[in-house]
Amino acid sequence: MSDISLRGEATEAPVAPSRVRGGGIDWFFVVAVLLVAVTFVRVIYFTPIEATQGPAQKIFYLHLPAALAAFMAFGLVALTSILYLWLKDPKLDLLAESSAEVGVVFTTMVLISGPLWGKPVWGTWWTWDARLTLTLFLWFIYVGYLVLRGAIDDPAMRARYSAVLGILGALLIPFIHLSVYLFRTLHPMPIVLKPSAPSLPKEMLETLALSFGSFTVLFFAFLRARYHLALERAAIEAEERR
Amino acid sequence: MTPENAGYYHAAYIVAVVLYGAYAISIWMRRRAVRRRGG
Repeated sequence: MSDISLRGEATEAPVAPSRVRGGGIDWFFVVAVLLVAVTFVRVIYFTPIEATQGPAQKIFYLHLPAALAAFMAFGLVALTSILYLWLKDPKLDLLAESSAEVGVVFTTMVLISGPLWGKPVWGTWWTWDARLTLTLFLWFIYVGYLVLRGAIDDPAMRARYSAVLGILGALLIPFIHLSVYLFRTLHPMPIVLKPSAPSLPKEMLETLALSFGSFTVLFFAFLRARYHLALERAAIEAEERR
Repeated sequence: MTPENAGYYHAAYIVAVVLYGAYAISIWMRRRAVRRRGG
């Protein structure tokens, strides 16, 4: 492993190994799993079926919260990357790395649930329109971000290069949100995240709110667990370099 | 008439359980490996 560092940042252990080692049950994660389970029960048994699209419309309660969680994740990557470039705190770099990986998982869910909803409703699994193509591009950028991190040994160089990519990748998020207004697309217009009131019946809106809440908690549970993993790994790598 | 397409919705929910479950397991396994490496 290279000992070269850029101005010395990001080479020390962010936290001593003894301080990051936890054990036992992660209660935050248990709460997240229970909330998601409650959401699934409500979606399956207590949410009406949409008359035009049929049961496939219930994919909506997975697809939209996953997209929101992915946007939060990549937004957090950009924010922590900017702060890293400014403050040079290695913990910010590890938080960015963790958030990027969790974001890739949620974007994968978006890219799988979308076609599963599109096939019965649009008649096609995939179309190369702006919203879908940009989302796929976002996924590739952050998979590339994780590959880049794996390819650079020097912690300071890895942190700096990936911070730049993390910030540039997040610039796509507003374009993805606005793409349905800017381009002709099969993807429907926003029905919740728009200036006017959400255009959903009350029962569906309540299920969507529960789904947003539970998947947001799941996002933070994943992020917390992944960040602890990153801290532990960085501490051990720093010990091994000594 | 409401279309019969429940298979797609069931598939999506199964994929969600598998994907999120597999990710949770992957974090747990990696933490265990790191702790073993740290001794």
